Amino acid sequence: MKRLKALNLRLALRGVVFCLILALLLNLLWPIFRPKNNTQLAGQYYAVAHGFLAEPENSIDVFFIGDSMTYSAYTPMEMWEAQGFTSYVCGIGSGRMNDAYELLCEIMECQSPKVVVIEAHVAARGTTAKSAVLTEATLWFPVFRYHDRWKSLTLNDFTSPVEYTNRKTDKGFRMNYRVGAADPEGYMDETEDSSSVSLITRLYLLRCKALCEANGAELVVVASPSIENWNYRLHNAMEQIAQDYGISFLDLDLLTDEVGIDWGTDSRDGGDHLNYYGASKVSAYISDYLAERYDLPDHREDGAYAAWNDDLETYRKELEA
Amino acid sequence: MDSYCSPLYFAFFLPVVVVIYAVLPQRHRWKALLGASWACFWWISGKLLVYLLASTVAIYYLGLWLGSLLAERDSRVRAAERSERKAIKAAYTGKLRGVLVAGILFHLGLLLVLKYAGFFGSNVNNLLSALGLDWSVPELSFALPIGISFYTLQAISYLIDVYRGTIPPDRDLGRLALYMSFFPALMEGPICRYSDTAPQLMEGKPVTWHNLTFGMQRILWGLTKKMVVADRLNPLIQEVFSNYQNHTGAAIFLAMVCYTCQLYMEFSGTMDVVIGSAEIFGITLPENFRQPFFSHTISEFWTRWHITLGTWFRDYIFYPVSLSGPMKKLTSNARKKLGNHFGPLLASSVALFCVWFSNGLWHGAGWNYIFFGLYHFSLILCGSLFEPLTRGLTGKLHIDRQGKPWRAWQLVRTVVLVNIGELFFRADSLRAGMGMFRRMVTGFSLAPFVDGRLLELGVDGKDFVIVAVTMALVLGVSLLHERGVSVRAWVAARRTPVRWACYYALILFLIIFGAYGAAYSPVDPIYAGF
Amino acid sequence: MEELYEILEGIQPEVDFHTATNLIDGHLLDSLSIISLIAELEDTFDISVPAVEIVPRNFNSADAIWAMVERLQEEG
Repeated sequence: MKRLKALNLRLALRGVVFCLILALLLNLLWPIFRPKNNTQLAGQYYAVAHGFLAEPENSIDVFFIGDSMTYSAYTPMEMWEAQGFTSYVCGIGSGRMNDAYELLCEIMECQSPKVVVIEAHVAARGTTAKSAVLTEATLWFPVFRYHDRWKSLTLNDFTSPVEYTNRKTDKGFRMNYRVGAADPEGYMDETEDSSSVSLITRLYLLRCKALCEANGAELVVVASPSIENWNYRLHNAMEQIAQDYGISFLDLDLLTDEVGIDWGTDSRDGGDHLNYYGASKVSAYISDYLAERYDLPDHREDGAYAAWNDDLETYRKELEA
Repeated sequence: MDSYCSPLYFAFFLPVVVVIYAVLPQRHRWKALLGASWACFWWISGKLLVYLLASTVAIYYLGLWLGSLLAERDSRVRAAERSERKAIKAAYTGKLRGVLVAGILFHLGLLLVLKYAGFFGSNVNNLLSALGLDWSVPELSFALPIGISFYTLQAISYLIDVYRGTIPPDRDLGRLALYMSFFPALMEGPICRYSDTAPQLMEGKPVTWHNLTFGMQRILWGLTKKMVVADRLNPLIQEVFSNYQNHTGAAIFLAMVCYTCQLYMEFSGTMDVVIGSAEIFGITLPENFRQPFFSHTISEFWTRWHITLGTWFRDYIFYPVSLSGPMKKLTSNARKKLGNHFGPLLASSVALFCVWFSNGLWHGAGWNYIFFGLYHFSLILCGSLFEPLTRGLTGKLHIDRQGKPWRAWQLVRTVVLVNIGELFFRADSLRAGMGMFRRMVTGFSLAPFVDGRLLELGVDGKDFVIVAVTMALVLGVSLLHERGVSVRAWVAARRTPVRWACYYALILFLIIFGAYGAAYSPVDPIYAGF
Repeated sequence: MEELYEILEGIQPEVDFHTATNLIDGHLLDSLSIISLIAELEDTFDISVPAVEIVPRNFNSADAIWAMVERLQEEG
């Protein structure tokens, strides 16, 4: 019996050593597979959403994390102009809550935002186990996310240091002037019903909350206006989750009058995403809302942030063009 | 968890089951397996679990009934005079057959209704409208419980074996339930036999270090085949098979070869995962593949490819049909007129036809599957019919039938014939299959291979290099297996550094070159759809 | 027994049936050959071979086949 126990212990130890060496190997691979710049060409996953990597450390006050609705609804440059806080939009098309969590982890490594806004559409959307497993693997070993880079590896990847140069003047916002009028008939009609939100999604929201708390950031869930993607049942579900988990929740779909959304002109595709005009209104509203509530600094006169004023000029020129 | 190659299965479900299994006392371990099996079934098919339960209960009671009839018969036979024995036996045969037929009809009926009702309905309607009749039958479609095509065959083989007296009826409902549902083999087989598998399921063997590591190696090997090759080739295959009109003959040829590789890598890879999973619990499931592409004839191919399906059809359709009363009469008459070679072939071909028609239809409700079955039927039949002819011809030409050139020619011929069969197998319909075949033969040119157009179908040059490397690895292992060398035993016998280096190399190979992540959509488990 | 060897060699001339002990497991006799074999056995030895007898155990070697034939003759 004793010998059997000793044997088991030895075997268990072998298993542990085997795993440790494997972990070491995976970590050794990472510097090779890691994109050497945050550009698409260099292999960066969702390069626009990762433009914040090229910003100076701890220089961004507010992050918006979400999907295509998010990068269509918030324009950080106009919030800068109105309130003077810095922000960045990390939108992954059809992103899921595990993607949001993965992004937040990357953000917290180089920035210390005061407020993190998570898109309610993402927080209420389901995720797939497969996608969640890949997220978990990536959090341990980022090489899982970037394994496909074997196709584009060059000698450079073995020798060069990482240097992020892809700084976005739009700060993750994607400008779009198309107008696709929408019919708000039946949009946000009140109901008692509530959608169900999957357990995995909720767990990732909770993890986001914990990560924000650990890093001294406030977490707010905001639903950006969208006729196609939001309704009262989702609102009820999100409201309940926010209450249960003690997270602030702001539903802009119920405030379209206050924001000033005109569904005839402010959507680019019939109520799915907002266009520039809608984004401008939402950004004005949310920047007031955040500045009022969260004691955000005004850097407009701060020399260290001079680049943001330059960015604003470029942004203005883009608008005129 | 829709596939054994989903991370949810091998990274979550399986480890949890292994831990629960290992901590339970030996006599309760089978319960963990049964619970896991039903949970897995429920996870995929939900309430359709009742079909499985109904089948299980049905074969339990039918088996006991058959068993008690047999026991009664035997005791009366023993008590009777020698002269009366035959009469007593005959009296029971009718009853036994009745019970057996009821059981088979119940299972086949369920399978036919659930899987084929829509197919029969739409064909009847096509026929009716072709005849100008203005009425139609409803085209019903049902949700199919996962694995029904596999567990139905297991249920039928159990009943026939009890009927034949080769196994005693099972008095343990739990064991029978586990035999019907054992989760590694649930979705894609292998199709187990009660006498081989059921006793092992209840043993509750401890999870030993040896079984655990060997099982995990086998799973890793299977995942590599599936994720590196089958998934990587998927975009090209999907593109060409769904829009073949837009592609050159060369592209269709390439897609055909890729599909054959994909099918083999997907199915045999999944089998590695399945058999490896069972190995962890100390359970040996039957092998489904034995280096199929080293076959010299089509008939040999089917003893090496999806073996458990082939042997099922052989044991429960081919032999019973060819040795049935009418067929025996036919054979003995035909032998007198046609001689020893062609005489028995007549009855065999009738049986073969039944086998291959069933085989085609088993794969799915579609004419292309039936064509696939009959295609192989014709090839095997022709092989036998012309056997004396080729024997004579090769003899006259002084070709050594055991010599390397002839063997190589046989090998190549078989591979080509198999590839053509798989083209029809994968095609969206029989018509599409015909169209593709015509286009491939008439529109074939070498130009697209040279100008790089074939690399724009969703699988680029680097992908092909990785696929080729992996296939070469699989080929190397297959060659060793063919010579009777067990690669796993060889690796296991090395010193730790060598052994671990092999494992790490394979793990990293899979992690780097596996076609997973946002850029890929893996192929659905092919055989789970049958 | 000699009759049996003759029958077997008529079906599959390339196999040495005096030594082979893995006719089925070694895939030397395929299912079509087995049907031919059974037809001849039934005629020559006046027996009836039911499907249930077709298991590797009974067909792996000439000796095994002979044993089965003798058993079936006895059972008559």
